[in-house]
Amino acid sequence: MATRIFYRLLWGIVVLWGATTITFFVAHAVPSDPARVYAGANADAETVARIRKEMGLNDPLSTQYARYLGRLIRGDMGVSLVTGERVSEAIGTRLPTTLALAVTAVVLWMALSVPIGAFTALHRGRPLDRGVLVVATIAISLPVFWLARTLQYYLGYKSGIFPVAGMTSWKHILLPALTLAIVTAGYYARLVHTGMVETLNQDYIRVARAKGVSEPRVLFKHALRNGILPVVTVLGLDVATLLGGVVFTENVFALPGIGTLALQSVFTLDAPMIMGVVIFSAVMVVGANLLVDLLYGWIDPRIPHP
Amino acid sequence: MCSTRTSKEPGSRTFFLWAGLWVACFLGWGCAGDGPAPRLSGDDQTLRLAIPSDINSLDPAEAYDVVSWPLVRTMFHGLVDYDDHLDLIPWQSESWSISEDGRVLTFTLRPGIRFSNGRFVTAEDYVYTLTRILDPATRSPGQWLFRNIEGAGVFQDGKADRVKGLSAPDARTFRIELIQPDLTFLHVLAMPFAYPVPKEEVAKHPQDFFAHPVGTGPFVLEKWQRGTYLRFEPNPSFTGADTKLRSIDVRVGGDETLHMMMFERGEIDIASITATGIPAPDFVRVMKDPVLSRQVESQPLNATYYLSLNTEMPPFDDVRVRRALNHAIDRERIVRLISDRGIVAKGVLPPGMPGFKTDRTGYAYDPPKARALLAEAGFPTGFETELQMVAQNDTESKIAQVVQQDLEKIGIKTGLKPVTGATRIETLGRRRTVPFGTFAWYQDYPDPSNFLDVLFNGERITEVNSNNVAFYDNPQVNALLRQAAHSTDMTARLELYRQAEDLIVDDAPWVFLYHPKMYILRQPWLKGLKLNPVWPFRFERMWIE
Amino acid sequence: MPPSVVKDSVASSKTAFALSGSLWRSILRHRLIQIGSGMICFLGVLAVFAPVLTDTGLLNDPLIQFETGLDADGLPVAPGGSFLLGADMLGRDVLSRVVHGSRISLTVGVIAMCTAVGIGVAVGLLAGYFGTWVNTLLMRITDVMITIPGLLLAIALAGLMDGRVIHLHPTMFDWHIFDFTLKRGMVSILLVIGLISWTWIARVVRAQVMAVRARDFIDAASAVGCSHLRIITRHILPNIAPSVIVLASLNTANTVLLDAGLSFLGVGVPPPAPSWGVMIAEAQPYFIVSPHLTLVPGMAIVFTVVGFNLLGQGLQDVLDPYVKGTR
Repeated sequence: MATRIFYRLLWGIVVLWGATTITFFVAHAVPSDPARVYAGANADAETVARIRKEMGLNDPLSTQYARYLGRLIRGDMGVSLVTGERVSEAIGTRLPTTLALAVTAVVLWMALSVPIGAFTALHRGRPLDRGVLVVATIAISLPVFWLARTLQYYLGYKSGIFPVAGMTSWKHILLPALTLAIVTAGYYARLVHTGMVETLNQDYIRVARAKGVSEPRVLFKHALRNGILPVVTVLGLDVATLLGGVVFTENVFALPGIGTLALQSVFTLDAPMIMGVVIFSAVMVVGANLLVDLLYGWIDPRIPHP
Repeated sequence: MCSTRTSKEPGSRTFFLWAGLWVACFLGWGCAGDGPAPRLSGDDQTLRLAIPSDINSLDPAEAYDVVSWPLVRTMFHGLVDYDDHLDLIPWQSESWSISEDGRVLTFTLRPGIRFSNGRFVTAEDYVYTLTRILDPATRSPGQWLFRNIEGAGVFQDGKADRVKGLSAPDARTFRIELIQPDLTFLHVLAMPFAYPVPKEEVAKHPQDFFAHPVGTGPFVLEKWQRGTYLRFEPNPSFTGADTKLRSIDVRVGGDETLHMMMFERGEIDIASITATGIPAPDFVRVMKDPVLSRQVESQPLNATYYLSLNTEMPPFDDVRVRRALNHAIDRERIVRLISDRGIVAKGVLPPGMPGFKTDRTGYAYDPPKARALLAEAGFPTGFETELQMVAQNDTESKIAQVVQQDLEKIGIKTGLKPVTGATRIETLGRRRTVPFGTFAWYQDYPDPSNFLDVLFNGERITEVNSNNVAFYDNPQVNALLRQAAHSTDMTARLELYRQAEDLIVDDAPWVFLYHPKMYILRQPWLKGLKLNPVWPFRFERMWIE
Repeated sequence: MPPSVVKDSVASSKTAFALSGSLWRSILRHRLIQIGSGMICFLGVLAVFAPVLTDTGLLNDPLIQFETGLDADGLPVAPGGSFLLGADMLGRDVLSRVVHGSRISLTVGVIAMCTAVGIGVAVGLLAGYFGTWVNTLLMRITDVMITIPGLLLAIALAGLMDGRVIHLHPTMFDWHIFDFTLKRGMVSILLVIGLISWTWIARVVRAQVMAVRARDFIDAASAVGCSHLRIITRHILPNIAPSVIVLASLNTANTVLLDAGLSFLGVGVPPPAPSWGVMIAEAQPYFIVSPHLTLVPGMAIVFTVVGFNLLGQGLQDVLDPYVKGTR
């Protein structure tokens, strides 16, 4: 077990290194002059040249890469070329918002999809199941940014039920979380549905029913526990996709989270910040994968560990 | 005899009950507590603002954009300021004198002015501040403005450890020696770059003084949560007029439409403090609204929106082609499409600029003449080209597409090349890279040299990061500009600049589009807001009623 | 193994996946497939015939900026009247823009999907079939691609498309045959989208290939002496075909959404192309005064994506037994 974890970790680090390297070269390949961005449109050429020299941008790319890696190993992710913030601090201050958004969204969509999936599994083939299927399909087909804008307009601006944007109180997280939850719940509901259907067909469920175990008990104690399995796997692996939805949601609702930071850094071509965000998200993804791998083996002992 | 469903199984009715519970829960939760409400009393003297993205720096040596400057100016004040007629007046100086040859400026400082850390300001602080700007290690974007100071060059190259032209003969006298006489230098001193900073505070935070600013202004930074908000509170050591505000809260994030929504719900007091002000689509609605229209303030800006024509890249190296483009584009329609929030540009300088020629004819909208000029230049059937623009900007996207259509009518097929703002600045300033692109220039200070000399002087062309993005080089113009730069006679200068502008307009290195006007909305309870072409927002003069 | 078992296994592989008559019938009868393919066909027809409709005057030109499209205040005209779905902020007809936009969205979506499926199947196939170091190498590469946030990579890559010329020749020679220009346009965008969407296809295909490979008849086939290529083309590919078909449909839904998202951020197909995502992005400042500018293209996107999703789900239902190998 320990050797497995060790090897997994090792591979995780290799993957992280690969992701970091690719991102570094892509981030530096796009044409832009951070010194120019920093200096602003009105500064003259000599000023920009001097600033450029101070930023160390005149060295060849490989030197900059080596320097970056060296600092990274020591935990120094550098300083933003645009805002002057320390990258690690910038991510640290934005993290709580994104975490709040993500956690709330996950709670919401689990609370939505698990009951829906269970219900439709029980009423398989009936009108309710069909109806929910259609609604769920529409839900996962909604572009996140469009749904966010629409909800913001009708539920925020027009009716005043929710705050429009920003993050000055805990209430501000509800609408964005709801947006994310809606587009994901449809998919998870189907997952739970499929998982439950399969489980409900298993022999041991029939046995339990035959033995006279009450229906809710059958549902919750037996079927649900195993029907949830695919959901757990997907949840862990979905971290990467989650970041995509988070980016759009934070953008529309003006939430000061990692998603906004990521967008800003890509559009201002702020290489250290881009690297920081990518590394952070990569660590999350690798970590989540690792966790799911281990958890899966623990939850279902029947599954052989490769 | 197995039934597939027992009576204890949850049915569809349960499902809908559960769904209904959800909706009720959510709406209730959302409605609960205090939603954003408009101000009810004048006791709350907090000015609430919103900006689209976080400020990069509150260090006056670094801040160089329309959003940071008003905020920096709440914390830092300097030697000179502008009055309502755009004349320079003493601010934290008592008086100044300029030598006969125009090379030496001597300031007498006002006594008793303190930094927010309690210490009194001396002339030595000004020497330190300007030296710091020139120091390459500070990376100040404004260093170019101070290069005319005696000894600046050798200092910047590291060959001297102080700037010879900056001196403090005594605690209240600050002396600057220039290499060449320059009537615009006073304007430069009115910019935040020259506002004093205390040496000991910079020493305390060598890497991040920008987050711990200490100045002589009426406010201090109380809290800055990066990416989220800033709060300013009154400076107890400030010796000038008292401000009625108790704090300024600036929220970060959201675009202008979002800020408009927040304004209408009473969450912020000004919409908005960015260059555009009221978003264009809402502008008409606001002007028609009986209540809102009375809360609008407007101000023509000293800025010009233009299309840059790279005079070194064919076919734009032919002046006839450039003139043709100027005749082909319907500026009136563009201004109409931006809801008349601009003035059609006949030349380079905006109307508020000294030296503006009121009777300039400019280029009339004349597609047949454009076609004739093109034919003369050897393009009877037109040609293909690409216009670079910034896609994320709604106004620019519109303008670009109008330009595209207008040029199509005279046979020029224009593709659009969207880039980010960062890329645009870099590529436009690089020689022989962008033939045709959108851009704008906002004044640094109200003097024609800030437009003509910076943007059209052939001697200032550089291989990269050139401000002369049309790479325009006309020896006659260069000579006029050189002469005007070192003239000590204001009237003569303005005449020289007028002649230079005539030549430039005739040569058409740009398609001159329009001069933007700023419109902002203030809440009815916000008083004391008076726009000004140079400094639109002076927060310390506002209050809530 | 007794010869009879080998013979049965090999024989059964022949019927493992073939478009038999009964299969077709169950496909065509499945409600979801009917609805989904109906929606897609409708869109396809619109997309194909849009230029014709415009030429014959039934539909306005999507690029023309009509003076009548703007009301007296210079704001977009609401739906109704001469503009069925209203006009946009430059006076262009929203209906015709949405219809013409389907050409872009469908083209980008489908071809990006082909790219993604192409890469994904190739990677998954090689990894799953050959196993050992090939598998490890390819899966690690896939892992790396998964960890880099796709959206950010797409934006950065789109930023690279600025008209630069890439020289693909060895440094000693000065050839220019292999030069290609990276310009922003449909081709580059769909390549970018394809490049970031292939990873999960690779994973699924690999799992499928491994499952198929584990079946007896493969060992039998290779014992009999079939070459790798033969085994792959005759046994593996037909057996993973059902999953790939389902993946293709679902992936198209994904690519269309991605395209909309990238256009929304301003890094998709450049204006004035009536891409739906760009329309929503341009409509942003007009949300308060002209909500139809945002709602209409959004609904078009939803319609398209729902179509592909329904089709994919329907196919999944029908083809599931084949995928599992229980048929």
